[in-house]
Amino acid sequence: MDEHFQFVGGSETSETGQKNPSAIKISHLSLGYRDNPQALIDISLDIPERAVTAIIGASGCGKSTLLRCLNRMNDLIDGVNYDGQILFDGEDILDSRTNVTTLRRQIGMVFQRPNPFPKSIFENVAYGLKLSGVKSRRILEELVEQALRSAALWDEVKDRLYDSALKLSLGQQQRLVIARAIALKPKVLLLDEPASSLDPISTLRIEELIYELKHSFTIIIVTHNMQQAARVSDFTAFMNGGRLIEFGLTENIFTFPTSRETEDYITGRYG
Amino acid sequence: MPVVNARAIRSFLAGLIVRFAGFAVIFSLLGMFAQMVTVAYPILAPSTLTPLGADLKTSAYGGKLEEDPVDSTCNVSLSVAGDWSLEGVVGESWFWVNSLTGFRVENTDLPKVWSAATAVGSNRGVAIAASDGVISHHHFLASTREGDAPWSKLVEKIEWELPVIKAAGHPRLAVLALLSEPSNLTIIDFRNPQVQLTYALSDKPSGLFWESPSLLRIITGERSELFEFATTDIGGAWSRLIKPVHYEGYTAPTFLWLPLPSSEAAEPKYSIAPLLFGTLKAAFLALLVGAPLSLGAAIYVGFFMSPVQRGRIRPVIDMLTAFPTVVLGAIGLFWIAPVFETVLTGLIGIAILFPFFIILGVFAMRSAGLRLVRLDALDDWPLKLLPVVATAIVLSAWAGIAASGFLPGGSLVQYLEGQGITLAYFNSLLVGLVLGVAITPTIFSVAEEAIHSVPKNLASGALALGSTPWQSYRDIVLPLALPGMIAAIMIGFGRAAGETMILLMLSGNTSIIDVSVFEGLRSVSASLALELPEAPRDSSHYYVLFVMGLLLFGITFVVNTLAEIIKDSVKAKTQGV
Amino acid sequence: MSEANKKFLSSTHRQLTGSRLERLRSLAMIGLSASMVTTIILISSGLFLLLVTSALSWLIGGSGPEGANWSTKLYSLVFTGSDLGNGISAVFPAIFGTLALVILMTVFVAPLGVATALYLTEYARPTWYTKLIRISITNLAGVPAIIYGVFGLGFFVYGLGGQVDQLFFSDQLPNPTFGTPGLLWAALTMALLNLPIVIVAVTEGLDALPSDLREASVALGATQGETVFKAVLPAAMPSVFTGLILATARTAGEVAPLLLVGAVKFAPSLPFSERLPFIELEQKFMHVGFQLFDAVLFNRVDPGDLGWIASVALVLVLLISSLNLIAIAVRALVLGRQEVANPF
Repeated sequence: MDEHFQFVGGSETSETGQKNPSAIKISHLSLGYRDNPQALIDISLDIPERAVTAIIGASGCGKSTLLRCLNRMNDLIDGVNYDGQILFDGEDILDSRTNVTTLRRQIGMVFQRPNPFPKSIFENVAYGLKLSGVKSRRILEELVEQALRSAALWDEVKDRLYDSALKLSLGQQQRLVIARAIALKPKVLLLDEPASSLDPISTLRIEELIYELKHSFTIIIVTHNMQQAARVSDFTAFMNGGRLIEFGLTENIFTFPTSRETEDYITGRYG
Repeated sequence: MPVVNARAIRSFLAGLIVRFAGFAVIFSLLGMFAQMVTVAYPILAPSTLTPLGADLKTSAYGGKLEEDPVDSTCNVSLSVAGDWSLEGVVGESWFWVNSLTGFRVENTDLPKVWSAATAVGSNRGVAIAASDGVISHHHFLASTREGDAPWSKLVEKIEWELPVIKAAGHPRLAVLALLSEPSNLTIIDFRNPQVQLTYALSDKPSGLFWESPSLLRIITGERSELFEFATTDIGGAWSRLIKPVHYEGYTAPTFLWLPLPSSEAAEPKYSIAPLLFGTLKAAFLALLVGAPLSLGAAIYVGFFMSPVQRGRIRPVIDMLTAFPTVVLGAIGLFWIAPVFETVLTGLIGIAILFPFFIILGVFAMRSAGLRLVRLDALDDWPLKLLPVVATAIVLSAWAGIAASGFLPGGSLVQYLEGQGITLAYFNSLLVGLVLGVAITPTIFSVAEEAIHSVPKNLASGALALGSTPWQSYRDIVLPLALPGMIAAIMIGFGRAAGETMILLMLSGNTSIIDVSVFEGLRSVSASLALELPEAPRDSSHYYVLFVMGLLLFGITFVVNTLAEIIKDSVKAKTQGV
Repeated sequence: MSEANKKFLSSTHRQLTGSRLERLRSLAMIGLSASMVTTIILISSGLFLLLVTSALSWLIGGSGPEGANWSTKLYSLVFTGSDLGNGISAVFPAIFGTLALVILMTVFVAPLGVATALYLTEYARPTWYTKLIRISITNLAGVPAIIYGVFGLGFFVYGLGGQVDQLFFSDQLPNPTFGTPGLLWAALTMALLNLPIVIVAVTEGLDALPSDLREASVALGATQGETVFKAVLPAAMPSVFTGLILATARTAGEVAPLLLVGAVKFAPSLPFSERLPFIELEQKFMHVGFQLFDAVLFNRVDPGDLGWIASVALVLVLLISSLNLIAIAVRALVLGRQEVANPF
């Protein structure tokens, strides 16, 4: 088959029924690096705006790799080379002339294990803002509070903003990292298995947060937890062996998958 | 019932041997320090005066008594250096008398009324027991103008109430033996004047003289008593090792290290200060050269390189350790020192212009469309930058050398001469340069380890927020790695302080305290290497050398321990993440 | 939209162009630090090239006695030396002396170092004072070499040597036999100097062994002694070799302590003899590093002889680098082996 992705569901619509424009358009993306020359194979995908898109698949299928293409974090890998195009805001992300630092302020990322800086809570959130040139203390404080509120962390930390971030629980740390990312008001938020190192209650809180955040941000979440994908996302992409197998509305993917591979994965036959 | 068979016995014996050997080794290693202390300890010993016994043969010493410089008219004549002598008569002024010309010059510094006066320290000074209860010690100093009379300088004064019967100065040292009422023998060591050795004689003594530097004979009527005087070169005053000391023949107290003066009679000088200063100066200059090189490289290798490349480049950098310090010293001596002026001007040029050329080159490579230098593909920069670096070195060195031609005087050396500075052939800068290269691998490996141990995901977090790679290093990694880098510098310092061969070959071994980097220096380690083979066993020189060895041991041990503590504190911090 | 947000968004827009400065600065700083790596490599290569060209030009070039071509010179360099001019002596006796020193030193350091490492890791209970001992030993690795020489002079040469003379060679006194620097004391001093290095290397190797190795041995009914000597130690052999190689490299390169405990410019004979124990322990001996030092410091070396200095230096450098490379290879072998041994 030439076309490796199956679009299920007719047209890209979010749950409100409106047609979502694409936040990110991925065209024929292939990627290889020294240890894995075929990490991503000819992926084409349009990510809908202001919605949650989940990327699921077995371990090693390339979902994190795909995610990290979107903010060029794969550049850090030894011997990486890209093919294809990723359009964001009218520009090709993969172009070597792209200003990667500003790109990353518009496409934020939260990692699998919470990685707050060994600084105070305030400093963690303020770091990105300072990088963006915010100098006024007053504005910083206001923006930090905004971000912490949006991340549903403000009430828990407002009295100890200057304590070390490492004293927070893992769940709180992850929300702090989210606050840190959204403080920059990015257009897109990339979440790479954000709850996999958290306990079930914290996981739930993160999922609730995602539900809130999608009104303001385009969210792409990689997860190995299918139930989570089903709960949280509007759209789902299924990957296997570096290829995109299926993409569509979440409810459709999970109830009427088109591809046999998708069905096998979802029903638990492998993965 | 425990198993007892051949196997068990063999195993037990093996265990015993291992325990014993291990224990013995640990004991020896840790005991090294203690053993060195026992060797050096005697230097602290105070002088002693031991009576050896009396005998009756006073008549045999009659002739000796006539040599007593104090005669019935209380008239003293001491020969001083050259043709001059010092003559004094009680109640009148002292005079410098020239034996050739008969010239007499009055010396108004010495007291006129005295009860005893005697030469001390190989005729380099005089001790006078004045009648007002003060014993004063003066040095003789040659005049700066040829032919002029010498002059005397008061070195110290001691209160002395008891009337003095007779006094005799030690033939070599600044030590005074005196007999005072009613029948006391006292030894005053001007090196350590507060501590006086006193012995109560059985009868009132009539005379005394030094039979040898260690034997003192006291005449009491018909009998004579013999005393043994044992002392070290510093007379129990260990502060002489660290304070400025007023040596014979010098106008003021100074720091001097001269344990083997050229003339037999001169006193040995044991100030450790110039040697310590030399060691510290060399180490500091070496850090100035080595730290930027090694820290810069450590930042790049520890943070910006991928694991694969890092594994490859580290042994390459370690290749520098294949040059033992004796080889580096030889290279410095034969290839660098002869052209040091050129090297120095080149280095100045490099220090100023190298960063500029590098940055220029990096930008040029980037914007020339070659796309050789991408911010995102950092691994082979050292290789790709090779032509840039080589060119930068050559250009900036050439610029420095050429610029020196424009200095007043036409060259760096001439310019310095004009300022009153002479560039010694063996100077501190040369030492610092070669030593700096020698300690670079040491600082590099510790610093690189520290930087690399900071978890990478912290830096990733910063990058994802839109920081540049340098910002992610500077804001997140550097604060965490800083203690490790400081520890690296400390370890490098310890290594430089303990280094011997380079110092031996390139420092000129001049024991001076001079801040000027154009002069040479002498380090503790080099002194140990040069002087220990020659120092007679169990001599004061030998002891002092061991003291210095202990000092060096102590300094490096403390510095290294502090560095280890600092390194461990880093681990505690990064583990919290 | 709050005022702060407005301000932020507009300043961000400003910063989008301003961040160019940051990117340039990043480029510049990374470039500078990378250039330090290049510089270090250039320095090593430069020094090496200097020695090689100087040695080669001397070997092949004009200076030296008439009619001497490069092979004669090479031969003279190594074996005879005297026909090359004053101040130059052959390298062979020095190599021989260095070898003798290294062998003797290894004889002392290997069992003692290994035993101590075994004691610390296998036998001693891990209390605070064993930890303290380990830290002390690591610190001792950082003590300057000359201090070991000072200790060796005081304790071995004058202390033990003096005693030996009193007891066994009193008829020779006051001419010292053992109470003077010599091969035995030098070997002991270098052994002491290298003990911390060997102990640390072997301890690292022992610590890195998986604990199931010991457990498996005990489960098979072995005593502690058998476990240690038949299972643990053989597995740690690579790190023992690493330690010994590092010690050897250090012995070849460190001259400072030898100035005090035994090396000389010219020893009348090689330190070997025909009688037992086939090695003259009280003799002074020659050493390559010392040879170089002596030529450098105390000889009036003609400009034409610089090449000889370079050749001797090169011999030393090549010797030490090959030893280091072997140590690296052995260490890589250790890591490789461990992966095979522990497939988890």
